[in-house]
Amino acid sequence: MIQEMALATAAGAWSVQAAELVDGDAELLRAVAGGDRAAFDRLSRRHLDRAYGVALRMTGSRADAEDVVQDVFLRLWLKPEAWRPGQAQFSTWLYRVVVNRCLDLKRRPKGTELDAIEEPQDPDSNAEDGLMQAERGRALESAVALLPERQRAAIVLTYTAGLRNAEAASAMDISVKAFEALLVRAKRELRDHLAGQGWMQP
Amino acid sequence: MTERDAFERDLGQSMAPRPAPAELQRRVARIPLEHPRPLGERPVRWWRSWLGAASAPWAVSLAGALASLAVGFWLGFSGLADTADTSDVASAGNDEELVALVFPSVPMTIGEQQ
Repeated sequence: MIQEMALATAAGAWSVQAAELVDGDAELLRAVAGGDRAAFDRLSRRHLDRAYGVALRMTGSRADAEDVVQDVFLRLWLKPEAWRPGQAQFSTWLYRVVVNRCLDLKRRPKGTELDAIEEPQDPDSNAEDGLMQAERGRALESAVALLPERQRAAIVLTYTAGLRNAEAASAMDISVKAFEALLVRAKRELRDHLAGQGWMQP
Repeated sequence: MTERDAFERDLGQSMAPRPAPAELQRRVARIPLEHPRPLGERPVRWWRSWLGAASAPWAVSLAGALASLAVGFWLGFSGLADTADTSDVASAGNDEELVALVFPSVPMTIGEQQ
């Protein structure tokens, strides 16, 4: 029971952190619309890591992820009115744009660089358990990279961007039920992949 | 901890965002300097946004209502409305004056016409 509560807390913590970012985004964006560079700096610092994380998972390439994120923030600076308050939260809109840009990029004929995703840093990497966990995490990252685009987007929007189901569904322009079904299928595929490699029991 | 719990934990840890590269942070920070906004682009004034496309019908209706109210007050304070409430005799006299002023060639009484 305690373990379940701890897991739920850990899983929810990321969503809570993401929700906290929502506060003040609209005010910052209004200032950005007025040409306030400091506001743009604050807004980009708030969302840069997540936007880069989403782009990296979606493209599988550091260079492409950096290009996508820079392009999205350039668009945000030049056309801040592209986001309309009331239609969606700023973060939902931002990650939708990032995902769409990544999908556009991936549709161009180009080789993928799955190895470009950096290895997760583990503080206990000296310990055998830590190494095992790091290896398992790496296998999981590779499995995510192999998922179909929409399933990968569902995983990334949930676990990297920290969006709730309703927000992620809005970002993907699908219903919440459809999103939940997509997420379930994606997790099942990941578990099957890990089981095939001996990381999980089938 | 069940295997499913461990899977969720690993997924959360593996997919968690890490700090963006310093070079990307610098590139994004330079955007406002390298792409200055065109001159004349200013924050939208409140009255412009008020008259924006979405709120225009509402704004026009309100402006019409205020104008109508102003005309009503003006008529009331200028005394024109009072003339309608005076006695019949005074009203008749005023009416004749008004007709004579607007239509000078029209005879004022039936007797004159005869």
